[in-house]
Amino acid sequence: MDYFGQLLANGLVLGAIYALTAVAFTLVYGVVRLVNFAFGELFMLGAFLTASLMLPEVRLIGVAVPMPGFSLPVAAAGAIALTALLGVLVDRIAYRPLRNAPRLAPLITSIAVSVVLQSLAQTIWGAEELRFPEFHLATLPPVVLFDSIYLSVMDLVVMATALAAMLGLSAFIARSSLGRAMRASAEDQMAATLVGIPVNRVVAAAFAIGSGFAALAGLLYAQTYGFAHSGMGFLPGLKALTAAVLGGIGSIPGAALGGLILGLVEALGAGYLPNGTAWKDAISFVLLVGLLYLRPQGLLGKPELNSAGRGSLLGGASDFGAVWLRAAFATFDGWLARAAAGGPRAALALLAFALLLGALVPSDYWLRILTMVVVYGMLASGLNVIVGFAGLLDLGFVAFWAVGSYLTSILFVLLLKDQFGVAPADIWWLLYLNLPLAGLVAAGFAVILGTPTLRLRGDYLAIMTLGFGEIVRVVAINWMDLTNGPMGIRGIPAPNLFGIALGSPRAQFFFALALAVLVVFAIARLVRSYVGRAWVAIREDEEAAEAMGVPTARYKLYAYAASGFVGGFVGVFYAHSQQYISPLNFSLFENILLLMLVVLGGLGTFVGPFVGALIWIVFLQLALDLPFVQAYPETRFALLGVVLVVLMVFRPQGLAASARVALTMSGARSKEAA
Amino acid sequence: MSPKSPIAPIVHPTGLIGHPDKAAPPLLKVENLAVSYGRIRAVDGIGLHVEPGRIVSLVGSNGAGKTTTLMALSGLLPLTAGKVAFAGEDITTLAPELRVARGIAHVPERRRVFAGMSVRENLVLGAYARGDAVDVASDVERMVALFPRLGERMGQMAGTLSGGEQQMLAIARGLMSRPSLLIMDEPTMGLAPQMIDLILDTVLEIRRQGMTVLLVEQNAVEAMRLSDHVYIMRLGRIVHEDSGANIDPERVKSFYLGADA
Amino acid sequence: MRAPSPTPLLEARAITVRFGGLEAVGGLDMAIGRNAIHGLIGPNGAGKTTVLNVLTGFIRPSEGELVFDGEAIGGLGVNRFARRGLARTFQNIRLFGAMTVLESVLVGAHQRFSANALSLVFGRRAAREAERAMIVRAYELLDFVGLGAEVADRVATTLSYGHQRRVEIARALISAPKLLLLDEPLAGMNAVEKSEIADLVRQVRAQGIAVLLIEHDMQIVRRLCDHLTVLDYGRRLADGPPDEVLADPAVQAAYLGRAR
Repeated sequence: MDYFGQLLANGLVLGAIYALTAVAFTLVYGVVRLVNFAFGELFMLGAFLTASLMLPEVRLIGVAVPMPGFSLPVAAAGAIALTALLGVLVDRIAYRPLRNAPRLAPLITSIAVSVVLQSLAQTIWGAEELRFPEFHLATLPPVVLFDSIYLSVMDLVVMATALAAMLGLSAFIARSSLGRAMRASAEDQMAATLVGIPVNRVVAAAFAIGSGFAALAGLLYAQTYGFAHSGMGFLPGLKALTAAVLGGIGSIPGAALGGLILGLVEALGAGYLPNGTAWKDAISFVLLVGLLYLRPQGLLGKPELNSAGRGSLLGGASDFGAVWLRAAFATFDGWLARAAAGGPRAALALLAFALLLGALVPSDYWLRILTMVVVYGMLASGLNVIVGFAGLLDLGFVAFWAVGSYLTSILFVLLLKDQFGVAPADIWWLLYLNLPLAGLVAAGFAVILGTPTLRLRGDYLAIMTLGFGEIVRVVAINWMDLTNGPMGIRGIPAPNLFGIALGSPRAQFFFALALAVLVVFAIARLVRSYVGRAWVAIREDEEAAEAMGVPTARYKLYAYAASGFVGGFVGVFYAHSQQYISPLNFSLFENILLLMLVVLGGLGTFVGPFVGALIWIVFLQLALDLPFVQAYPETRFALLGVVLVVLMVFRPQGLAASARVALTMSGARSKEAA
Repeated sequence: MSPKSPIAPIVHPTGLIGHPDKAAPPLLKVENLAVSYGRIRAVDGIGLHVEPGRIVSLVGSNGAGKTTTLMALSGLLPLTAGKVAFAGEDITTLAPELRVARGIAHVPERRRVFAGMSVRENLVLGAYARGDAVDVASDVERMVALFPRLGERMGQMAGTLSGGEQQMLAIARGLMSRPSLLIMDEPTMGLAPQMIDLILDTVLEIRRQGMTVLLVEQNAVEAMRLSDHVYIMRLGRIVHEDSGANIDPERVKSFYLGADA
Repeated sequence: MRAPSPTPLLEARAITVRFGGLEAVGGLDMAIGRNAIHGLIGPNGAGKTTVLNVLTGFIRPSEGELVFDGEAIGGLGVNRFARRGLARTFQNIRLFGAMTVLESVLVGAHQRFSANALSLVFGRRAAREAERAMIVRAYELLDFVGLGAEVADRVATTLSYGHQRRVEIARALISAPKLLLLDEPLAGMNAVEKSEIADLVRQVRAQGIAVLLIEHDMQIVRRLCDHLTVLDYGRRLADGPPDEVLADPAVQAAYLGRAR
């Protein structure tokens, strides 16, 4: 009972914090139907700003800046106000221009905004933790309940604050004129406009309040755990989103309920399950996935929120895009369009160029980088099948990559070498067997993961796949016997062909290139057939595709399978090329990065993923020569985020959009014309 | 085949209004209004004159562009061309919420009440554009006087009302902004006959209280009977206009049913 | 033309559709004859598109049954309706963005492909020949709907509205349907385009394909259809030959309203 009571108390504190953040997600979703992933980062900024305002001096971008040294309540108020303002600014710049864009655009933008804010925070406050200044209430002796449950005064303050904020917001929404206007805008924007409500301003108000709540939650969290860190908002943000979905996104009491349930389940799970603390992150996501499968509308939500508008980023491509950007791209576009029309000849030319590059580049360092370009290009191509062609935003793609990498590493190292003492060089051929095997296993895995998502669309689909990706990562970390846990697996042999080691950077580059040819060729053959046409039709208009006789559920699974196959296939090579893997290689950030590469290069094109990978990875290296970047490497990610937001607003179809993919078999066409 | 000029002479049976040029300036003046959805031109250069204190109807078969016209007038759709003046002020590019503040209320097609909010909240929201919070309560009372049924349902969620009650609520919500022009889009669609009578009587009552009404009505017979002036639309253009009493029903029938083709 | 056989192609029996508590369609009986051009008309909000959505599987009726070509098809998935031979177009043209005309039309032929993933990846002959056959068919149909081969490689959504409508019809026809359902195919067109599409509808029928048509332009309906069903408030108000139905005072009142 004592132990249970203590866990309960911890769960309530955590739940209060989740609930506050969940309110942010739910409020904004309710009004504009946008999952603003960036609330996790606004949560983090709330913590940093409060801590900074409380200190006498803070080092910002390495410079000591005098600070007012406010007490916690004053600093908190200031931080909340600043974060609210930032939230409004983000809405104005990154989301408002996309109000009528396809659903995928603001979703990707919000992910990009997260990356920007997190990188900027790390640049400004540094990669180290910032100790959260002690507030004098925290020095008071804890309150003891029932003789055995210890609650610090600050825990009580956290709960009281959360309760007060939530009740205050409920009253505001229910009673005030602006609150009524928010509810009206949430129900029917057109009718709201017709009674004279300035909907854009109401949306801005929702962002301000939501961001304020996220900041409040963040500062309470930082206060409770005693530190602020640029990555601190990520997991609580995801969990708050889970809580919001759990309660039924769009519903404020639902968010409060979801937050509390999640906090309690996590605290109790951590306390009672075997090795519970390690698995507690998985608990939330299992809950999320199960819930989305069984009751996607959440506990208190309405079912109709599980919907996605028609059209893709490419569908409206011709109408999109600022004139100046189009002008800037005109030559490039023309070149790409001609190359795309050139078909196999252009592809061969590109391949010849890559071979030449591999043969002539003298430095091993650059060869390694080029190998990474090819690997990331292949992975992005795999993701492109599901996101770019079938139009399903998959944030769990890294799981398939992880399956491939782990499969070959476990077989080679943990099983055959460590258990049976087989020397990797003797079984070099296993690699070539593992490539298709891992592809098939990952494809099967993708179908299993894909099946429960079939009923979900748009935002919910993204959230569910994200849950899957996180579960796989947590499993990889914690299933020590299978994966060697966070230590990862070392000593994975380099590729080898008939006893000839292919470990040199040049050999690896050519190996990667050969695989890339296979991957692109296979994807291209599928896409240029009725299968690819079915995928694109689903992406553009699922209902119309169904009406044309396309069994859309089955073809979505095919897309998952094809995407998973590529992930597993490439994962095998990745493990052998890196010779070391750990769960860190397969984080959600990697998935986001791959997504960004595809979007940057151009969704639904063959060259796009490689263009994105080339630009990004080469830039990543070249920028290291700049002194500023050397000091603040994170700024590169901020720049990537900014580029993506700009692209989403002005050229959502990506840089290489004009390399349009033909969806008919090339041979069949030319013979017909003859 | 018909006078397309918006300043064609209008002879009203009551003789109250003569040539629009000589009469009081129009409350709403629309010139050469055009609206496109992508490549389709839904409204193709129409002109309207709505004089104060009158009921003016737009009739025509489905797809004629009536609703599109109304949405453009309240600022919900951007114009491809044309000019809209309200009470002497050019409002062509004015934001929709500001048009409400100027005195244009639009009761949209299919009512679009806020289903998850109470009847009272719907009414209070109707007064959102008005700066004065003071008189809202008394205006709610006026609405109850106009539609006693709403008074009985003040605390009920609007989504649980019958279709006719929702239509009453939508009209009342529009009136809460104290408009000088009330735009109504198919207020009788899908309603039972007694309810249609009640709604149409309300339209007359609204004019009696001094407001101007621009009405889109599928029930052309009723629209002609009620209105001081009728515009007939077809394929995005105005093909005929006259005072309600002067329009030949056979001619309207031909526009609807294509009998004389 | 084939002689019309006695059993109807599609029979809807006592179809009722409720949304929440509202009855959108009530006890509708309707039979579409083989080789008919059947018009479905009625004032705004009468439930015409709802009926078309029922007939194509988009909406499952709360009550009633559907018999198509002698088989009950109620409860099947939407793609099964298409596979049985019911092809449709949409009120607001729904072509696939980012696809060329040829590709869009080929999506309509989806059910006629069967190659598996491996034969596609390895480009087996059967897969290539199936693709070629359908491409040829697509060109034929583009020609049939009055579009030249030169539009085949244009992105479909950049065509003029009238041409988009024709592409949509070609996309429906390539599945070799028995019944083509057109939801307001003439909306937004000028008089010339309207009469061209009307001619096209007649040619479709001449190929032995029955047509169900929702349309508001009564001049065209009168000339084009050989049978009309009039809906009002979700119920069948009249059913029969066009001249008879349009002269019915009840139909005229439904359209024009009746004075109090």
